[in-house]
Amino acid sequence: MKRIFLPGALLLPVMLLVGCGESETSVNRSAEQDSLREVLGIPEHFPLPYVPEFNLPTEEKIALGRRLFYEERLSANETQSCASCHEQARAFADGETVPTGSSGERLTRNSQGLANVAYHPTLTWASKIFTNIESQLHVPLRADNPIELGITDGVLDEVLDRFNDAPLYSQLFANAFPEAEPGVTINKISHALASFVRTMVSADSAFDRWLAGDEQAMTDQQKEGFVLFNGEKFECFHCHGGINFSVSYRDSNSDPGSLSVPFFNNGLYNVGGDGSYPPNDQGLFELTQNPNHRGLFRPPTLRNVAVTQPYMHDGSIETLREVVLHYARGGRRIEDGPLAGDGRLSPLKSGLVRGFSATEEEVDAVVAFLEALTDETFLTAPEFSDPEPE
Amino acid sequence: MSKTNRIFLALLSAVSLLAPPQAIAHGQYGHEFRTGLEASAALTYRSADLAEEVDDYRISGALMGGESYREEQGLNLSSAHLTGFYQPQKDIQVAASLAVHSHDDNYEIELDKALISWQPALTKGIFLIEAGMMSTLTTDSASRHADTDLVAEPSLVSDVLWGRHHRDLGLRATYLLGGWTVGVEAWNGDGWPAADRANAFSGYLAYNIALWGGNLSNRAWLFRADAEDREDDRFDPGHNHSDDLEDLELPAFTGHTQLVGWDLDWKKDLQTGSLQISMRLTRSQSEGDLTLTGQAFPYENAYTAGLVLGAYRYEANTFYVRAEQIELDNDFNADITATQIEAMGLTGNYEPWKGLLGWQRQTGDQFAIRLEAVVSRHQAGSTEKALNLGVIWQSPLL
Ligand code: HEC
Ligand code: HEC
Repeated sequence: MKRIFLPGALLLPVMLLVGCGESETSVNRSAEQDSLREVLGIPEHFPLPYVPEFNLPTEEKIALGRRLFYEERLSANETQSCASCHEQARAFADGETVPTGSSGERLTRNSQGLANVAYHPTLTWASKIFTNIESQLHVPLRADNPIELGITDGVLDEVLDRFNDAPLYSQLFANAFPEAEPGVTINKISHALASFVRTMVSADSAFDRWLAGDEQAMTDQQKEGFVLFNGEKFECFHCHGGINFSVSYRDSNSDPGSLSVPFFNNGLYNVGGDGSYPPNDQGLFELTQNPNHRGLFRPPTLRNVAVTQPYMHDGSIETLREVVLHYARGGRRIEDGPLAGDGRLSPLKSGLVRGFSATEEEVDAVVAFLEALTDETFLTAPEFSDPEPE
Repeated sequence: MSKTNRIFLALLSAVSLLAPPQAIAHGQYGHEFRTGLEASAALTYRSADLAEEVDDYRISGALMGGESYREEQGLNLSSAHLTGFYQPQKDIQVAASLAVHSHDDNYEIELDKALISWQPALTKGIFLIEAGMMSTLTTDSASRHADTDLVAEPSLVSDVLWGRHHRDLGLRATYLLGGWTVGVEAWNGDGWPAADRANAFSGYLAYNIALWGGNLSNRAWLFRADAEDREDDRFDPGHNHSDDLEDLELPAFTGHTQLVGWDLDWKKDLQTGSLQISMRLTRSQSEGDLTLTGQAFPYENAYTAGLVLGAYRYEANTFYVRAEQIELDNDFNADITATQIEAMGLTGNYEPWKGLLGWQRQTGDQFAIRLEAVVSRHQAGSTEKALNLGVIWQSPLL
């Protein structure tokens, strides 16, 4: 009583002036934002992802999308589904260096995990043109070079009829698109799939629990790793910063006019000493043909990264420890063969990949921290699983 | 405690404050033109950092900026001015003032004022036009300096609502008649809370009346400023000395801020000294967008601040007490998470306050010493205490 008396007495007249109110910070979300959160299942500590106006999610679309995701009839030869390359237990990556499509063709890039895809402003390892999941999905569905699911023009009607002819699917499509003209279309398929993929939010890792205040959720080693990850020696956060561990980030608050869509060359290759990447995949350059864009890739999210090995766009690094050592060296050196070259000396490498000397303990700590981003809930959540397991 | 009891207690403690100041008279509100040069400086030894618990001077829930730097423990030159006046002809005065401010162990010399004043001869009342670099005269909370103010301790109200002090290129017209004063000001729009040459204007209306054998000055004012991408650049690399700012993502504000205030001062001369009671009630409201790394959040805030000062001068000694408190309300009309709000430093769920007891003694014409005991809350749940021991020097040089 005595201790608070002096400041208390001083403050009384002021409190009278100010009106004894209480400071408060409040968030007034719109009803639309609330319902989007609910339909997509976004936890409170996560921002609402960007959702295109033309494909607002509904429970019905999501349910249909989930079924289609696991549906092998969605590939021309009925052998593959999305899940063939995107397995839940691997955070929807596939464990392969590069996957093989339904017709047996090998793809050039590693299958990406799908956790929190909704928070990326651009889709795939290196593209500026796919700015929503809907448009990107036309690649696995429709592409003919290389073939993934292989719904090329010639077989399109045949594949759509499989769904039109199945009573269960006609009903699901009708429920999901009540206002559209009846009949299955490729757009309805991609919209339903995109709605399902948008619900794949991973937000319950040890890191998230630690963030929410559970000091025990991460080990001391993991906490040390987090500090190193965010420090000016390792510099990881410059490219893998923020709630989704990627600066290639977009959510519902992002201003479309000033979206940043960053790509970096992290020094994996330096073929011929001029900064080139292997000729079959030079990253953003494939799209822009700008020589300075050789080796530019989107910084991927690192959530669940401990279960998505092998790493990088071509699956060319096996373990997380090797990834960290790659950054410590400041680029990868390939001794001989057609891809020989020292990535560290690449003229196109990002200035943020400078190399650093780290102790074994420090490397271990960063790896341990990356492991704290594994979200068991996400990897086993029934709502993402095959609705009709064999 | 019943409501009547509370009000009674409040009145009682207000009465206990009835012991104020004789703010060292400064040219601020004077209209006597002259030629001269004067200097002033305040040197203060602080026993503890201001806002001890926080790395940098931030108050959770307050969108701060400007020049509200943290005062550090040790001996500091709080503020110093060299001011020159020149009266080339009867109705014109040119004035310029250089100020020294310190923060983070750096001293910066800046042009605090540079203005020309014109006072045309009128048959009724006084009309004054001023143009140049200056501070708003709407309220003294916008331009407190330790070397010209009674109190050494920076005011929370000034720090939070005015970025410690306002300064901008502007134009002011003042008219005084009888006990009334009315002033209007238009600004270039660069002085916090304005930014990037956005619109800013202000005005005030004051009147003086005799009350209880003293003089009561009653002032109502308004200051409105637009801001375009206003950043809190107190933490620019050059200014910041802590490494761990990654967790801090300070947003930029685009929108408008409107401050309204009511300033009351009652002064009474006594045989042996004087008595002053002052009260400042200010409400600042901002509306616009906070932007951060390509994201925009529709945002509003309302900060309500109260300050009470009492000073009692007895011969060369002035005893004073000052208390202030701010209620900080922030509203996001956006889908934003608690983590994002926290990273912006706008979580605020407490009312920062500061109180102090002081004693100032005039020792000769040019010097005064002062001692202040300060208690404050800048962060939820922690109280900070500090002692200030200071010397003030004020001298006409010419
Ligand atoms: C044959 C394997 C394969 C199949 C089948 C496949 N994908 Fe993929 N998926 C990939 C590969 C490889 C990438 C990376 C493509 C690139 O970077 O060019 C990818 C990328 C993606 C992405 C972008 C991820 C990001 O982070 O930007 C999404 C979304 C996606 N796939 C969803 C699907 C869906 C839905 C289906 C089913 C219609 C599907 N995929 C079928 C291999 C496959
Ligand atoms: C200059 C930006 C940049 C910096 C700094 C950076 N990364 Fe990366 N990171 C990338 C890019 C771009 C990729 C994808 C490159 C590719 O596939 O060719 C990537 C890929 C990865 C991958 C593989 C992810 C996957 O799904 O295959 C891991 C793991 C990773 N980074 C961890 C780190 C760590 C740990 C650090 C700090 C030591 C770090 N990164 C620093 C840009 C960066």
